[in-house]
Amino acid sequence: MKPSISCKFNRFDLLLSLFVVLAAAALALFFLSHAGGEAGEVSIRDGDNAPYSLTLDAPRRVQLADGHITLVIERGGVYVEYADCPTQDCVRTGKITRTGESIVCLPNRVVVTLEGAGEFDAVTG
Amino acid sequence: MKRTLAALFLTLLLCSCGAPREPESVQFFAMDTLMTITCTEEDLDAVHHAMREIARLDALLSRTREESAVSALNRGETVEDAELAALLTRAAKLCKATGGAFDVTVAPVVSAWGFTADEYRVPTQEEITALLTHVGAGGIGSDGEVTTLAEGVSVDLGGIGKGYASDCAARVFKEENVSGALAALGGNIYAHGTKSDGSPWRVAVRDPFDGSAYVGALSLTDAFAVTSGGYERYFESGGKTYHHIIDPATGYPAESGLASVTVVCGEGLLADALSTALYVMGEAKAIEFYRTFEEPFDMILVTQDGRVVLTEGAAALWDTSVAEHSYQYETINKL
Ligand SMILES: [Zn+2]
Repeated sequence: MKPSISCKFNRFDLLLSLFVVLAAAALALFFLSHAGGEAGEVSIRDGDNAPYSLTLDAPRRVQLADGHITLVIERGGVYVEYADCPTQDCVRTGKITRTGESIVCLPNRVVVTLEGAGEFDAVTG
Repeated sequence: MKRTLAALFLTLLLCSCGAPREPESVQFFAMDTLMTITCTEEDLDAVHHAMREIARLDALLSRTREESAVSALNRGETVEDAELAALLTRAAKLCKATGGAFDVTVAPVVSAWGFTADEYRVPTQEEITALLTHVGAGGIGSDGEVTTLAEGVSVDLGGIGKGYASDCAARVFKEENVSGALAALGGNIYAHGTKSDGSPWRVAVRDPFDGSAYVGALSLTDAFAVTSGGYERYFESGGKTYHHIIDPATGYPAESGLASVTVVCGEGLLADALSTALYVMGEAKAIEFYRTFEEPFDMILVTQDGRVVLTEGAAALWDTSVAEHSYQYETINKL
């Protein structure tokens, strides 16, 4: 194995590559989701910020991507109420309610995933 | 004073072996999919190490990134990389073992159907026939260090890349003494050790006929699991549905009577390759292969007519109570 490959691969390359494949990942996400049980919290990745989680027990509106997205958090789940992205995929995803389900906004680099007392640790297929 | 000490002791006790802490979850995009690794807080460094390994593999194996070693190979260049050589040698061996049902050189045909660039189309029979002349593991030349492809041959490691990535994650977890972690690399699962409460990881297998339901769940410890099914990716044209698992023998989407195949075994690459191969083979050949192949593995076949066929090893890990639709379950053994 040649160590040169890993040396050349810096942090910027990593971030770049991660977001280049985001488009294809959205499709994969669609099939990957639905890990089952009732969700307890929502994990939020907003651009390059560190991911964080919010409980579903405290309904509220959250501004993401510097106000380009409005996420509504309710007891049963979350949905994107407003987004300025051209595709509107995130808005059309609608409300997600089950653990493992995600909403992705590619242009705004936002990923929202439901977590909680799910029945399964992962899903294959 | 005594009470303070007792309280302190109790606190320490609760901290060290009290309620299981919330697991950490690391999410990232690589190999055209979303990857999630779940672990305890102490093991986050190891998980980040595994993530960097996977990013390195993505840069090496990607067929769509021009600067990757695989892209260089596909342009006809000679590539000197021991890891890639080993990977392609293993792929060629599995191609032979599966009678060509799994074949990384089917790449040009998969591209002709538009599954590489997500621009779907139905190729003509002439086009497929011409492309099939370049399909076959014989087109891969490798001496263990240097790899070259025969004229017109190209490879796509999409069918084993994520499986191999899970092997690399497993190696990192082992080297760094991770007690328990679950890697879900876009449906390629690696369950390392147990959950923090000592119980096995619970992995649901999706119902191929209902995307929000499951056919059952597996309890996994130190095992890899991968599912392949036509339902994962397909398009419709002229009233017909075409899915992404191309039979290397015909150049058309495999019509084998199976709806999905899940493979459970001790190697991620093998699980990944076999899930595709067995799907192409169909039920009878898959069972025959299970009984004769020299490397141990277990499988769960979901047939188009609504049966779930499990090998005895898979049946021992299987929980049907989570299934939302009724299936007929059958167990087979080695004989
Ligand atoms: Zn959006």
